[in-house]
Amino acid sequence: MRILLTPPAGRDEVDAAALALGWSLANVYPRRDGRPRQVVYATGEALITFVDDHRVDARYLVLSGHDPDALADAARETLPTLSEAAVLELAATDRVRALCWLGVVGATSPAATRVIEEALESDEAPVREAARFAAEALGWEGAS
Amino acid sequence: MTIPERPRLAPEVLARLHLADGEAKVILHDPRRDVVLEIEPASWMVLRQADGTRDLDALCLAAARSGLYRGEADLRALLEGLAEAGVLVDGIPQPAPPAPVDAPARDERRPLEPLPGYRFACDGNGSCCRTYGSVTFTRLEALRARVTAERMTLPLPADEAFTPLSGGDPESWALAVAQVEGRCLFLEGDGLCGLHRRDGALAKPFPCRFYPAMLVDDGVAVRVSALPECSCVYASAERPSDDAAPLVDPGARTLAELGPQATVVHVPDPVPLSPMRAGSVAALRAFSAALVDALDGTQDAAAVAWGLAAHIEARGLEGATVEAAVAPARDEALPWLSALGARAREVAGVEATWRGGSDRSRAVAAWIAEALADPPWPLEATDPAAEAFYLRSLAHGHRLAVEGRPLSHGLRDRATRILAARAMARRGAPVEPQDARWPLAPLEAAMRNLRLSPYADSVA
Repeated sequence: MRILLTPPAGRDEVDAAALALGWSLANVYPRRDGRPRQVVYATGEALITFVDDHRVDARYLVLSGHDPDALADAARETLPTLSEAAVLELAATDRVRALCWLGVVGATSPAATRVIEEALESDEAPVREAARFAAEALGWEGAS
Repeated sequence: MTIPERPRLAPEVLARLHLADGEAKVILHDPRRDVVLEIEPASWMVLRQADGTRDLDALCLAAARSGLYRGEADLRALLEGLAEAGVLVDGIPQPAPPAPVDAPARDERRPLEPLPGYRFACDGNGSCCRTYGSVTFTRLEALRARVTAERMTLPLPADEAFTPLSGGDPESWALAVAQVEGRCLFLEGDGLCGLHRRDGALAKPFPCRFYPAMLVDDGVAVRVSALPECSCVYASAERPSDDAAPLVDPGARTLAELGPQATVVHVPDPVPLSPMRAGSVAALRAFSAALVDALDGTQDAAAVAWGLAAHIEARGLEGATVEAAVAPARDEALPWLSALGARAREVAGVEATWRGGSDRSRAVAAWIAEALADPPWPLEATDPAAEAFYLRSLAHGHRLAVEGRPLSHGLRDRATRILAARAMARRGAPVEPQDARWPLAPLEAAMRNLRLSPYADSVA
């Protein structure tokens, strides 16, 4: 499960949430080559990875565990986050960024699917590129 | 401010744990720039992990493992503040190049020459235990102290009370113990050492057992003198009590017999006498011996020191005896007293920001500053015998020749200190009764402990 943070929220806000929610800092992977910087927190039964994704100018959490829903609810209550609907609204003003972020949030709605499919056929190269990223990101582990 | 990639506390920085007005804090003092910083004990625990191998990410992880992680921003703010103050360096220590001139070798066979006729007795008041910011323990002594401390009720856990003597190296062989309101952690309410009380004198660290002896090797002998920084030193000179004893083990004849922990300072050869002159160690020995013999309390010690400085600058050590005494005129002494007063005011201001209200060092700094604000003149001796003993002890120990300044400058500095102590006897609030009797003692201690000594470098 992935949760997109509302800009400009980032590491400091996640650190604060971690302290509040009892997540322990477990590891830090520096940005290297194409890999974004990742900060890993752990609870007794889940991992929370904060990704500072320079490729698509997004900061998001990847939650993994056998039942991350409760964790996601707690994170959403503590951190400013963007829903799939909010990202779809962004598509009207910033199509490229919205496409990338739809991939990040693991969009599942028919509307999101339609936006991505249309973008894949776009005449504009940046839009097609963003749509390809989104399509690929939808298949990442923890997409939903 | 850029944080070093792999930060580490500079090795010169002194980190000390203090309990001041009931609040635990760590004071970082960088003597290179006279920077004094205050951080929380939790920040110190994190900073200890900054050993020059960890970058910011690794420090975050180390802090998390210790349960001290408060967020990267918190750690970054701490490190940025320390970097801005100049107390951090980058990376692990690198091997230093060999010194251009070898340090004098320690000669264990050197005979001991104690201050003639002097016997010392501690009054058990514990004022020295409330004076010094660094009470030094070896790791073994600290371990023993922790064992003894299990039978004591301490305001801080003894196993968390030690910091490296300097720098942040957790493996440092020399440690400094925490202070409670400016007192050694192990000092008890009645002025006695809790370690000594429970397990005897050997339970104390070596420097405490050796105090107030000071050793200076002049190439012929090791001079044993008394640091004139404690009222007991003066009281012992005035009227030794029945339990007074020699400064060092009377059975010891050579340096070797005092043990490897006895620190020795070496007289430079040649001896810097003035900005334009240098002399031999043999001449210094003769000068010191003549001064020790001649000073009997009938002279004005400030005039002796001041006059000798002028004589040495003009003619060297030839004929430099107490006969050269010349009291400084007001306009000669005033720049020195003013410089000392300014330094005392500066230090008193800094100390007041973090020391507790009952801290002796804070009160001493304020007393000196107050006494030297527009100092009275003339400043006549109130205790010529104590002043004479002060100069005798310094002369016997060649102290004026081992402090990094020419002898003449050291003599003017000491004349100034004598005058300043006279001003303290007339003005300001003595901290304790024995301070009123011997104000030179807290003043001398403050020169080292409160970093007043550099005032002398600011006087032309």
